[in-house]
Formats: sequence, structure tokens, C-alpha cells
Amino acid sequence: MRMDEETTVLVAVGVASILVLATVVYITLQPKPAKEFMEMYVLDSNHGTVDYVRDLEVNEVVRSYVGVRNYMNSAQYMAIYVKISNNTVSAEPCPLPPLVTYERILPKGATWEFPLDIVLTRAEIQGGYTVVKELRVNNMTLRGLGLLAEGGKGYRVVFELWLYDPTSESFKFTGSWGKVWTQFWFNLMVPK
Amino acid sequence: MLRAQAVKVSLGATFFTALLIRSIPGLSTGVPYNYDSWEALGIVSFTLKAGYLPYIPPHGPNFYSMTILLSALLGVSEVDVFAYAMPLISSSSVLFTFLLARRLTGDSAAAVYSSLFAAVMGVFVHQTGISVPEALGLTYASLALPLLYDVMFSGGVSKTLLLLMSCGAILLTHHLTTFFTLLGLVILSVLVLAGLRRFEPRLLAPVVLTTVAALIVVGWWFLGIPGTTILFFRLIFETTARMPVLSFALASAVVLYFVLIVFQWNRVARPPFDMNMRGLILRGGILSGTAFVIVLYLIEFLVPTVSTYQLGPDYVLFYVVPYLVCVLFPVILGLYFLFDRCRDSFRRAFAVVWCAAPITSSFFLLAASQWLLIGYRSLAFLLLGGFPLVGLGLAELVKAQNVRWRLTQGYAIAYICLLLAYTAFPPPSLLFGHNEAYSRSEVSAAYWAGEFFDRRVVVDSDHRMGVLLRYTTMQRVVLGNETSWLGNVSQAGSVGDVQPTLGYIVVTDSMLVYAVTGDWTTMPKPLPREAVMYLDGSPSLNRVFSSTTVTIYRNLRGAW
Repeated sequence: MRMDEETTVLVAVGVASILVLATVVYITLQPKPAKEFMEMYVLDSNHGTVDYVRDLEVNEVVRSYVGVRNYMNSAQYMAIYVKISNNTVSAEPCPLPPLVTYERILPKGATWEFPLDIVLTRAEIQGGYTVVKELRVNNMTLRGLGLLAEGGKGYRVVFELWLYDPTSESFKFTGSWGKVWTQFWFNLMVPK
Repeated sequence: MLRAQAVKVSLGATFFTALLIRSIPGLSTGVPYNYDSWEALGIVSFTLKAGYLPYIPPHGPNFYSMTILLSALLGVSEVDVFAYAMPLISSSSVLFTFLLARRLTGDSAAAVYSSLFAAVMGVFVHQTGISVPEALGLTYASLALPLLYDVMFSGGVSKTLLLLMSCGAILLTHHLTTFFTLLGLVILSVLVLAGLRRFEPRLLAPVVLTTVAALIVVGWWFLGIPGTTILFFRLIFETTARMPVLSFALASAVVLYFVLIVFQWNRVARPPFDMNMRGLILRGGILSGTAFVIVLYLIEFLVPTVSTYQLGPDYVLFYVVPYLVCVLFPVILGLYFLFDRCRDSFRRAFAVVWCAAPITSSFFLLAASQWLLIGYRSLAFLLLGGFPLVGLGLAELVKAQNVRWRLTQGYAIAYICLLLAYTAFPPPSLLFGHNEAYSRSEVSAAYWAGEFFDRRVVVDSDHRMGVLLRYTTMQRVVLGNETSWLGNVSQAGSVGDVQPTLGYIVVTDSMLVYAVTGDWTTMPKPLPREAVMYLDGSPSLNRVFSSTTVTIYRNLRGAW
């Protein structure tokens, strides 16, 4: 009789501990939530988040720092697309072509940060719109542009993170890392 | 009775089970689980950096000094201690539960079942699995109860000293556990004094302890810790003092019922002498069923009336059914058997007062106002007091069946344990959108905020992410309440302008998928996608940080 009672107790306790152990092992082997992820940030000229440019004049240098951190399980071949858009475009990713692209292989756990100087070197007012015709990004001059914003207000510099997908042999904007992009806004003051 | 060897093996396996279940959050996320853990971690991290506690926390300093000690002894960071170490300590509560149940029931099989249920039972696992003062407080309480039993019924200097030490530890660890323990002691003292026919010094142990403890507790709360606890209890007492007569009578009836079953068991609740197990099961079933109907009524009609919460059938299945079937039903059976065996009112009183204290407190609070949160917090302590009765009820249920079912019974109990363990850490979909698990990407984003945020401005986030941001930035963070843009937008479902007073807006995927968690009195709602579109499209908001799960916006409007 004593053994009978023991049987139930021991089976209950033993099987429960085995079931729980199996569950814990299963959970532990599962990928942790967002264990693999990418980060991107944009800092102001003082390497902080206080003094972002708001009103900009032609030929004024805007310095910002763009950083990317790789918390994926392996090194990543990545591209940062720099685009300039306005407040009428809201899609992810920004449908405009990149003005500049920075590519790099970033090791696992590494951070890549670089300064980015943007100078709008030529802009005109056409009707009610300001049109940027020429700009310089880190000493690279881009001409023949037509970046417009109503009254020169609501320009935005967009930084998009694209990762290389070996299967399709191309860069992809979305994947297990989500959609990673940053932006800052400015108004352009053009003397009439 | 089980052989000593079988008891040891069972207890070893039970402790192992308890440890495994309590370790699930840490193992699955790699970071501390639950919002309160991050608040406590903030205090510990500050102390490690500064060399002293910023203030004596309202719970008491013991939990914080314990985690600092563990961090030093194990040579790991305080974050790792919070993520992994607490289950090691709190799992010992299942062993203490065994000691209590063994003393109360005199049945080692019942004591093992009690211990096993303490290892797997939903809320109890949750509250002893997360790194908060309550987990440690409940562990000390589970140690103090069997010690008090020994001091009351067999005496002993060493056990008296251990009891005093564990009571002191409860006091210095967690205020609410102290309150429930003290309330249990008060009720026990009243019942002991009412039942005492001659001078028996040992039986007066709870009376002496209550007198001394009450003085020390009140002194400590007034002089030792900041006003939070006193303010809190003053609010409770003021609210209960103003309660309507009918509510007071209803709440008092609960206390009276406990007094009656201790002293007038034969008249009030004892089943007929010829009632067999089937009759008892029927009786237990009817009582549990009645409780189910009452709880269902409260959930479906009362809760939506007095709060913004609405609970669907899945909540009933997840939170109500397990407690009625696996706790209340065996408790009723256990109570019958225990009270039939214990002829003296002192042992009967000892068996029920630890349940009576949180039930009484909850009834008074619920009758007085809408202190639903405190009612919820009572559950872990209530379970601690109820486990011995659960174990006894289950053991008797097992014994009553034919011998050939023993193996099947064992498998069935194990399966029930697994189901109960599943309720310990509820998914956000069954916790009103509260996602207690943090991801490494959220922690990393918070550390980025700690490095680059302007300390002068206010950060807007929700309760969940906000406590993490407070930990890393040490600045003012709005926690998704009425002053929060995110909180207001999620509640209203429509987007308005961001207040200039908010310097940063921190949005997580959890807000979009589950809810913007804010004040506990308001049912959280998810952040509408339009809110993110607004934030992305507003020229006064720079999107300065983006990761897989977190986006941070800098508000350019304002006076800085």
C-alpha cells in the first residue's frame, strides 16, 4: 500500500520535472526574441541629440554622425543609402534613388560610425517651391538635382540600412532585422 | 506515508522543477523579466556605482543588499543576477512549503504534492520567479510559517531564534508580505486567545510575536523607510474607514466565517459522518462551481462597470479555471480532512489564518474601493497559505481511487503541473497587452538613450519601456499615463500633436503589436499605425534611432 502511494507521488513529481525540463530545453533552444538585430542612429554636429540643424542656408555645412551596430549572428555586408526627400513622401523605403551609398562589411558586434557633411551649394526658388540643384556630400558634388520643397520647408535627409542577401545577390531593405532607417528634417533658407 | 528516501527524491525533483520553471524568463530572454525588476535594478546599479543606497526603498533594503552580495559572490554583473540568480533562492520556497504542509497534515505524500504545486502554480511561480523584493519576501515567509508552527507546538530556542530572524528578514525585504504576515499573526493571536482555556506559554508565541512585531513594524515603517509605505497604508486605512456599512458588514462576514469554521466546524461546515469520498467530491464540486459562477459574474459584469478592463473567455480559461479546479477544489477537500484530524482549534487556526489574512484584506479593499491591484497581489501569499490544504486534498483524492489507477494518477498530476506551469508567465495576449519579456534590442536601445539623451528633457514612452529607460538614462520618463502622448494616442485611437514638453518619444514594436502600457487602472490599448506615420512625417520630429524593435524620435519643438 505504501508503495502504491509512492508510485503516484514519484511518477507525478518525476514526469512533471521531465516535462518541465523538456519545455525549458525547447525554449532555451529557440531563438531569443530579437536576439539578432541591427541598429542605426544619427547624431548632431556635437555628437549628441541636442543640436540638430533646423534652418539651413545655402553653402552652410551640416555635419551629422551616422552609426550602425551589427548585433546579427554574423558579419554583415551592408549599404547605407542617403536620400533627400520632403514631407510629401512617406513610404518605407523612401522611393527616391539614393544620392550617395556607403557600403561596408561590418563584423558581428561591431559599430561603424562616420561623419557626414552635407552642403547645399545651389538652390533656387521656383514659384512657391525651393529647388536644390546642387549639393555636396562628404566632398562629393552632385549636380543636376531637382529636390524641391514648398517654401523650402520640410526637407529631410533619410538614412536607410540595406543588408546584402546572398540568395538574391542584392541588398534588401527588410528582413529579420526589420526596417532600420533614420532621418532628420531641415528648412532651407534661400535669399530671394 | 512515504519512505524517507522517496521523500528526498521527490523533493529534489520538485526543487529542480521549481528552479527550471522560474528560470524560463531569464533563459529565454537573457535579460531581467518584468517591469518592476528594472526599477529594482536601477537602485542596485546606483548603489554599486555610488557605494550607498540612494534612499531606503519602501520595500526595505534587504532585497537590494542580497542582489549586490550575490553579484559580488558570483562575480557576475547585477543585470545577470537579476536575470538568472533569483530563481535559485526563491525556489527554496517549495522546500519550506513541504515543511509547513508536513507539519500541518502529518502526511508526507500530501506535503510533496503541496511542494509540487508550489513549484508550478501560476501566480506563485510568477511572483517568486521574477527579481523583485516580493519574491524574496515570500521565500522568507514560507520559511517563517513552519518555524512558527514548531515554536507554537513544540518550542525550542534555536527555532525561536530562526523564527525571529526570518520575521526580521521579511520586514526588511517586502512591505506587503510583512503586512500579510502580520495580519495573519493578528488573526492567529485572536483565535489563540479565544481558544485558550489555561496558560500555555508555547501557544502564546504568536501573541507575543504579534505584539513585538507590530511595534517594530510600525516603528520601522514610520522611522526607517520613507513615507511611501506609510502613505500607502494610510490611504488603505482611510478608504476602509469610509466604507459603507453594508460593504463593511460583507467584508466582516468573511472574517467571521473563518472564526466560525475554526471554533464551530461541526456546526458550520463539517460534512455528515457517513459522507463518503464521492459525497465530499460532490460538495467540493458544488462549492467550486458556485465560486466559479460568482467570479464569472464579477468578471463579466462588475469589472467592466468599475474599470476599463474587459476580460474575454480566454482569460477565464487561463486565470479562473486553473485556480478553481486545481486550488479551490482540493483546498475544500483538504480542509475537511484536516479539520477532521485536528481536533484542537489552535492547529485549525494555524492552517487557515495565512489564507484568511489576504482574503480578509482583499475583501476589505475591494469593498472599500477599487484596489484591484492589491487584490491581485494578495494571491501569491494566499497560495502560500493554501498549498498544504491543496496537497492534502489531492493526496486524499489519490488515495480514494482504486490502487490500479496509481500510475495513471501520477501521469495526470504531472500533466496538470505542466498546464499550471504554462500559466506562470502569461503571454501579452493574455495579460492585457503587457509584455513582461524584454528583448536584447530594447535593452541595447535603452543603453543608447543613456549615452546620447539630453538629460534636461522629458522622455515619453510606456510603462514597459519607460522603466528600462529610467534605468539607463536616470531621467524623467513618462510611463504611458495621461501625461504621455503615446498613452493618450493609444487610448483615444486618434493622433494629436506631440506636446512640446516631451523631448523624446520612444516607440517599441511591443506598443504596436500588443499595447502601450500605462497606469494599471486603465486597460492598455495598442498604438495605432497612424501614430508612427505621424511621427515619421512630422518635420518637428527627427527619427534619430532605429533598430529592429525600437524607434526613437527627437522632438524639435519646445523651449530647450
